[in-house]
Amino acid sequence: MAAPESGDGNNGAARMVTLISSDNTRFEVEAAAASLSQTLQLTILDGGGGGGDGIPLPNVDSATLSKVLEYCIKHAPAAANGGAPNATAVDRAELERFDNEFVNIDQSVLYSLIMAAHNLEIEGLQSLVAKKVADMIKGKSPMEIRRTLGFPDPTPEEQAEMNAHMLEYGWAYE
Amino acid sequence: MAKKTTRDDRLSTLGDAALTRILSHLPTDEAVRTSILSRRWRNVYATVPVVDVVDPKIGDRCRGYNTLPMCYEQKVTCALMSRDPTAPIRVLRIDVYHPTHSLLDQWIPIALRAGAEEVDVKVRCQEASRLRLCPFIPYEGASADFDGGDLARYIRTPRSLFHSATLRHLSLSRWTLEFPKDVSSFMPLETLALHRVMGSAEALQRLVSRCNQLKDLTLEECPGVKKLTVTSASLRTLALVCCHNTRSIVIHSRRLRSLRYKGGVPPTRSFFSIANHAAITAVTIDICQDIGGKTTPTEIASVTELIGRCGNLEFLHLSLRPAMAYYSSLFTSVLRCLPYLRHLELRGCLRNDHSVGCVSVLLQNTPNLQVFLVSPSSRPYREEEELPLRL
Repeated sequence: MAAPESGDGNNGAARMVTLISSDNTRFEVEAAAASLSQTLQLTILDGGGGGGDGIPLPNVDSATLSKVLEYCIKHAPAAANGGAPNATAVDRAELERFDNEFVNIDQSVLYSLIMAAHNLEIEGLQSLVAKKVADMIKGKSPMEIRRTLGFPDPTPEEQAEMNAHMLEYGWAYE
Repeated sequence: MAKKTTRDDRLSTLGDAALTRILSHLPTDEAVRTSILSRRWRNVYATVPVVDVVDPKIGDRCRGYNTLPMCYEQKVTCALMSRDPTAPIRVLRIDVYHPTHSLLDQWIPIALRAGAEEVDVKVRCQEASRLRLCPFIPYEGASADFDGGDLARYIRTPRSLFHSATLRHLSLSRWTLEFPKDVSSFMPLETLALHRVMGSAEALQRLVSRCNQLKDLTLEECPGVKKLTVTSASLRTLALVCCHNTRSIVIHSRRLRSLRYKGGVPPTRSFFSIANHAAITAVTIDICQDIGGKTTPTEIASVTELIGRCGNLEFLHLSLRPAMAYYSSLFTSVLRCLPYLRHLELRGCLRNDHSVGCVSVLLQNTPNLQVFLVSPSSRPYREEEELPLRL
């Protein structure tokens, strides 16, 4: 049942790559995990990131990168399985539990993750963080959303604009 | 007053793609409401590829029907019309109570023309036979089929659903299946879920036969399922839930990984004809028929043999009501042959010491078990006791 590791060419040991954060911290991680990033995948397929080289990621700081890699390592085995859902409900439930726990984080960390997920094009992580933000918005009034998302309070001019807009889109406010 | 804010408004600096992705997880009216937030958010909603509107009227309790300021149909139409007409729609999710047929018939083609890959339309209505679609409940007039009153209520499926070149996932609840005769090419459907869909056995068979890339098939409370052959070579999950008129299911796929069955004891040993049992790693069997009176192994052989053939089984969930215990020794001999089993769930009553003994023998014979759950069937599912055993 053991599926062959994607990306290891020789003797069974998983190939490792090095990623370098914006603040020059080096992270060594399995190529299969880093390849969840569409951005990195091609470089890694071309043999980059191995040995002393490392792939620099000037837009991602070390705190965010370590969080991103935590996600990739957890999800890599399921992704290697052809992207198909795991056979057993148990494995799915375990991943779900991990995901819920994973995004239970401070808003500024969440925002950094959104930026990183988009920069690195990690499909699953992009969806996960987008859903988390959507959950923060769900069921709230526009003013509550503004506060939740950390928008500054509206100027009187903006407030007038909001009111006009609300009239125009009355159907969405029931 | 809030000039010097330290709040983090980085979200607004994201590109349209990222914001659109966030709004894709919201019901459409809520997504539209974000356009009020700021100029940055003004038009983001218009390209969100998901149209998802749920009718607030619930079931037959439509109190407040007349107090709603806007009718649901108008809301969906507004949701469709306020979008950027050039932006694709990937998902149409509609949950509607007693819809206006003519409008429903418009929404679906609009979404399909805009490239919809997923269509999920749940129709709700007051049903006379709500409690009767199971022949095993102790209720006078219990039946496996719809009654005449309900037949008239269900809307016919629009032709466009079966002529789409983009549709990958289709989920329908409470429809009358009318499969057009002129569908000659294969449909690209990968997921098909039918719940309370009425239609003849032939129509269902023709629909399934046209889906040669089907991966996941769910049939729930569909009385029209009788003899069904699933030819798709890609099928990996099958759920057959309370389709009580089923006589046989033939699976050609050699990749079937997960099988879920709920219903009476399968009447024959050839009820499931599966091309390759070795690929199956997860089985859920929920027998809702009272099998307390059946005491010989042959009467539940269709269940035990099915489990026994799945030699690579890792996950097994068994519900036999009311008294699973009668059979625990039968299942013990079957489970002994499943070396990879690592998750076992049993639902039913352990009535006496003998049955407890049988279950413990069973546990001794499943050396790789990591999770074992047992719960009495009378209690709600979530209250089950978890007994993680280190074996």
